[in-house]
Amino acid sequence: MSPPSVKSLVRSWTSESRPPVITGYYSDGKTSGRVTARLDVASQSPAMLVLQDVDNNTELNRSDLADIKISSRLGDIPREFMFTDGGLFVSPQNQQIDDMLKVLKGDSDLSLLHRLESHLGLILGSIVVALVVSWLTISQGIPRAADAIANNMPAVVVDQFDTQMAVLDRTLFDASKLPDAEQERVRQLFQPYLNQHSQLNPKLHIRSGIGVNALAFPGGDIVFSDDIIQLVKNDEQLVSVLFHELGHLQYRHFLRRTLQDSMVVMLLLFLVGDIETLDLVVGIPALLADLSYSRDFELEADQFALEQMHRNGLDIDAFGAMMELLAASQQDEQQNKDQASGYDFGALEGFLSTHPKSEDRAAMVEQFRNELL
Amino acid sequence: MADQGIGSVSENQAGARKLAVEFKGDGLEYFKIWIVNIVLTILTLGIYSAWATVRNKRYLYSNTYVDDSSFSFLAEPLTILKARLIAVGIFILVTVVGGISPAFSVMFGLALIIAIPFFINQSLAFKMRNTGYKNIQFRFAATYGEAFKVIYLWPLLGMLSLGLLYPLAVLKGVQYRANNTAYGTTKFEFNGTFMDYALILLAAAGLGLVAAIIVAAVGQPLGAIVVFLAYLAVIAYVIVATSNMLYLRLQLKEHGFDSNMTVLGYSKTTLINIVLIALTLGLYLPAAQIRMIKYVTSCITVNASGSLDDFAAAEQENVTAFGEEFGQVMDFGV
Repeated sequence: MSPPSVKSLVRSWTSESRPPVITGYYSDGKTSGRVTARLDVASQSPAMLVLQDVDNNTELNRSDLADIKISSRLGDIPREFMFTDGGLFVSPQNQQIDDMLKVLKGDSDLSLLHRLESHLGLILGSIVVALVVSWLTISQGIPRAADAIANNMPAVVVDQFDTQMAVLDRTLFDASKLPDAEQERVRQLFQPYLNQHSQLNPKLHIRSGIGVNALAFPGGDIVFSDDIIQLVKNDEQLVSVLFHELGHLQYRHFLRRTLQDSMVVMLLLFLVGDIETLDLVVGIPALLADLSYSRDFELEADQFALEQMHRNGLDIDAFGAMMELLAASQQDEQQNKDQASGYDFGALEGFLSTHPKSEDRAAMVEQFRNELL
Repeated sequence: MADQGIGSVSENQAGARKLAVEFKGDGLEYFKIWIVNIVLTILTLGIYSAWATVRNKRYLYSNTYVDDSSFSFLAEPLTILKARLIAVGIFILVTVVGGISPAFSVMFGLALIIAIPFFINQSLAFKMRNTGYKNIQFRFAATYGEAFKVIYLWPLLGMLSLGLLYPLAVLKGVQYRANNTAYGTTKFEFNGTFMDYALILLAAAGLGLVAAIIVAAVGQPLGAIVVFLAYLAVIAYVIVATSNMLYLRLQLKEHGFDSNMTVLGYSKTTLINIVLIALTLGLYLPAAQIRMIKYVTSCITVNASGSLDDFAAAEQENVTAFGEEFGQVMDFGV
């Protein structure tokens, strides 16, 4: 398509009463053939357009302006005039078309979206709004909404999230290899604290096959691994882990994390509108958000553990010591992995970890102590 | 239009023309449209997303030219919005009810497995019906059985035969898409063979083997980098080779196509895109899309034999957007 001549541009700018003539291609919609065509105003009131074949000056189509479906301005893509009989006139002369429509309709709202899309300040504002709103929604809005939903969910729904220990025993866990006497001792140690929180319906299980670990599942199943029981230096440390897990149950972390993760995916899907090309782009922020939620929940459970330790007259330093023990044991594992792969992933750990950094947790103990004083 | 086609058309003999596919979109221009779309989507709590989709796609389609005519994206935002609302409604319902009753989740999962071929047919039909070129729409029409075989049966046979029949699975997939697509009333024809795809997959396996030998030779930690690069190279090779093959063996009446994408060109485009997307917190995404489309279209030519003017329009038909939108929400790729 040749660019509009200077003459036609000048005419479109100077003449308000005589709208410009538009050239483009016309296809009748029956075959893929096309002819070069000229769109002109046949009459201004009522507004009527006439389309002529440029080569032989025959009339191709004629219609009330109101009956023609004209595509809105978008970037600099060609405009389409769809006639009621299925004929289509296409022209790239966006400026002349806008001028023509202005004369005929006197309508300045015609390309509101296009003006939004060309306004620099607005674009910059949009970038800021998009980033800020996404950030606030993910860091504030979604956690609050999930909290509200989790707290108002009918018991019958919540119960259905209950884990089936039988299934986990078959898939994830092995039976405990600790002597029965040791298992019984841990049960006795925990019983009074479990009783304090009987409304959470906590049930203790001792298993192996998951390394140094303690887990809480919705429904109240709490799993301690052999390794973590063997790792602790004293009973108070072990109890601090129990309280941490009870914290997860108390605040319904499992349910809230599930809700929050699905809301993040929904949000990103709505924002970008189209997941065809965007799996990577949606996937990474969703993962980072999930990990960040996980760390927040860990800190919330830590807070709960400290409160309970204090209430029961236990030494809160046992909690801090326990966190250090855990961090040290994880570091050992990580070092083994790093040595195997030859790289140090330590720098990425903050963003890519499900658990807060041990310094953050130690600082939390310190803060809790200061609040008590 | 006397200057029509300079740079995009070369004539060698009577009626035979090589037509370039040109993409005239611009990364910055598309970014502006895209970012306004996102903000309006936020302000309307998601409702505008349907209009956003239409505006994005119109921009991409209408900037793609062959023979000085552009493609058009024809779907109505309201059609997409309705389908999207229904799909999201079903998604929420299934998530909530599935939480209450695991048995329901299992049953829904089974129903979905049975329904997926139907939805994929619907989705492709919607996509094609809403693609226009010179005021003629594309069409897609396939039977449920065909889709079912392509999605489940052939890949399963490929696995059971330890990969020997995997080229067949790929071939059947391409045949399903190409041979059921029509421009107006004229069907595309795909003439690829089992050997075409066997060679591609064999070369990919060979590439993997070479990488494995290098890893064994250099040892850790350098081997980890080799594994990573080889993984990317194999993926890029398979994408480039299958995409080129599609056009090479594709025909529309007497007109043919060609594509000469290279692994190097494709990898370079992809890597630049990934790095810039990461550095800009995702804001480079629309420009990345444009860069990739520009590269892919620059590699494709249409070998027109005579006039492109006598393709006839197919009869009017209506396909709902539901298949496509449902597919997106449930995240099954086509």
